[in-house]
Amino acid sequence: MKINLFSPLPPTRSEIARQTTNLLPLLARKAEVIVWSSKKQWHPEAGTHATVRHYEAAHPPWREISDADVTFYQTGNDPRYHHAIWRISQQHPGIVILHDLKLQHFFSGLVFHELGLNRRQYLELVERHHGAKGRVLAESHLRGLLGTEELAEQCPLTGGVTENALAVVVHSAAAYHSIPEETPVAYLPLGVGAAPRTQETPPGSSRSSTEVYQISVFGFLGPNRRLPVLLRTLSNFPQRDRFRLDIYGTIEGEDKIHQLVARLGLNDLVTMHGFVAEDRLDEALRRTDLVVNMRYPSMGEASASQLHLWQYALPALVTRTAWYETLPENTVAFVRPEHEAEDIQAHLTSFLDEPEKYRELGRNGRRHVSENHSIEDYANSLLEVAERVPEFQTRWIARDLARRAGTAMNAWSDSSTIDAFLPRVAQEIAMLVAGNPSTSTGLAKSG
Amino acid sequence: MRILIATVQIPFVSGGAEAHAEGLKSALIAAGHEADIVAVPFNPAVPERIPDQMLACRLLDLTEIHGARVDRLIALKFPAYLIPHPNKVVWVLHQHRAAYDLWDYPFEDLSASPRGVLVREAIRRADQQLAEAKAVFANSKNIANRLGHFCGINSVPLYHPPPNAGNFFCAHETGEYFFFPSRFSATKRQSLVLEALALTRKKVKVRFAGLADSPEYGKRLKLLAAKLGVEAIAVIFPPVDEDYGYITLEAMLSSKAVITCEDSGGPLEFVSHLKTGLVAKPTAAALAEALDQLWQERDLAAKYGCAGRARYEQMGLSWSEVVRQLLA
Repeated sequence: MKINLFSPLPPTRSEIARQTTNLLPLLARKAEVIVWSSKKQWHPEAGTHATVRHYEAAHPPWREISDADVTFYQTGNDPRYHHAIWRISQQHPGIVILHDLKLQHFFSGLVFHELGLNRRQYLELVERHHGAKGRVLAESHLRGLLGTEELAEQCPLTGGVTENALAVVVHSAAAYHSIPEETPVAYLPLGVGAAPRTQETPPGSSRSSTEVYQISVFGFLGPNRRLPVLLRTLSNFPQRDRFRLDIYGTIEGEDKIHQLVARLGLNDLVTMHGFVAEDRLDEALRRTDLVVNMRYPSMGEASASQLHLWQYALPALVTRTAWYETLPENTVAFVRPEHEAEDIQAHLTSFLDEPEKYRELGRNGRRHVSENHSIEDYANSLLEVAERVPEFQTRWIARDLARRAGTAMNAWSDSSTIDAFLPRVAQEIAMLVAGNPSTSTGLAKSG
Repeated sequence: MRILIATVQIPFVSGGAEAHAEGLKSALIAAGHEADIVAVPFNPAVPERIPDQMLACRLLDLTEIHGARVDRLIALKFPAYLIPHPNKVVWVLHQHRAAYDLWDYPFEDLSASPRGVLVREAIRRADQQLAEAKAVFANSKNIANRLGHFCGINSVPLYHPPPNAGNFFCAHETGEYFFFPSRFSATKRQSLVLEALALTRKKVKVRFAGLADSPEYGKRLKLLAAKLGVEAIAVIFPPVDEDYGYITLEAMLSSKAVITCEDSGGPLEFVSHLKTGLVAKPTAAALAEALDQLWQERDLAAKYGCAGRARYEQMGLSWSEVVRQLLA
């Protein structure tokens, strides 16, 4: 089997790029893999197990792309890393791997960063998926009157990346149920790479008497990562000196966060490191006692960073929402979205009283990852999905023909004639795509 | 019987397929049947729209015309052979080859189209419907082999005479040239002959006759001819995996040797190497060698030509036999 995989690659600062790197050796065991990169440079490791090819989104080498049996698209919310991938996926239907369900950051980002979608096209896209009301909201967003998260809650625009897909891969049950019935979808628990070597007990356990604990926040830190509420809560926490907060990653609106830290008098407790290389993050996580990994609103999919921190057996505060809400109670410490400050305070207090109880959450989390999120299983499942491409193609062809026939018939503007003709059209489409005249075309969602 | 011949018409393109349909119609009428041709417009230029045209064919109803039953539908070409009919016989001239053997061919558009894979798969699935016909014939063994190889469909090769078969003869005088009558198209490989001519040791002349599929290809050939210094445009028949190839049969009827290539498809069903012509490797050098040989050994060429005519007679190709099999 020959596989195309369109994905960002390291050194791109993206969890998806890291996941692709971890996947390649496993996919390459059973398939020939071509990784397509819109960047001209990539980390040499990516080429160890696969052929890496650069492409220009404006002039894709269709003959070479068409040579593969299946094409996977890694899609995410960062328009810088995914705009070229989306462009190709709209022209060459393949299997879309969804890493976020709420994709307003991506689509409005294409407009704001001038990455190939103008305002008119964006508004048309929103209207197609969310109607006239969605368009009005999107117009407000473009005028700066409505935030991305708020818009994404009402108009997630998931269909913007899935509408043309042969099939969709999702990583959570909620995402699985959110994909429209007509699109084949496979739910695969997100896989993470090999666990880092950690001590049996996290570093904090041996120094609980030092009285100071390390809290970390890491990843791409947009407004939904709740930094302001965390900072305010820490500032109001009576025993705040028992904690140090380190923030790793790119912060959206960094200046405002700096100002807030200063205003709250947290300069001695909070350190912002910006984006750090993987080895530095690894070192930081090894020194961490507690991670705050809140997201509200959630962009709706499984969190690669949650799996990553669990590999270090770290306890984490997470928002009780979306995918996080489905996590076992004994693996994370939940924060209710409507009681964030109250719950964070309660957890910090409880952590100081019983740190071992939180460490146990981390250890349970690590066990949960190893039992449910193996990258080997994930790679094998992707290959199983790839084997089903003929079935997906049948469904796509039928759907496309039905859409085109529907458009043509709409012009007749005579509903009774259309109604009378529809069964015949449907029957002939079924005949055309059936392959073997005796087979049916019934397809269903698959888990 | 009241018989309809279903085929397709690519606007502004006319060639062997159109002659084939007309020949069949004449033969059916000559055999006492009422026959007509239904030519569905087909435009393969936009690959994404090919499935629409397949569906359009499926939605045609030709079981009855003006209250009178159509007793048989004889379908010849993609996608017209998808038209449903309770008494359908398919005589496959060729499938949409870009979805099969020509998928990787550099001059074909389908694999260069972003949705080419899906269109290819749509065509392949739809072609499975050929099995719904009462009988499937193929225009040649070559096509029967492709149908079997790509679609798993068994078919019977059914040869027919070329148009105006009775008009061909061998002139008493032999001209000082080879003749290459064919549509000017990348798959017919006039360019290979031009490259071979540049390599011949003898001053071989070839006369080409035909219309170019596209003005660009015609221009390219003229430029190539000018570059290679060929004095005349010229002969032979070395296409890429030809479906059938009237030219071979016309050459045999005219008692002419045929020079073709090992990968030329249909012609190989009729040309016997060193008996009725030469079968060369598909390279300019090998073709040049064959041209030199027959240019120099005219008696041998004449002998091959006579043997070709005799072989044609032995095959007993006739429209009456075709009609008998299609209506059986």
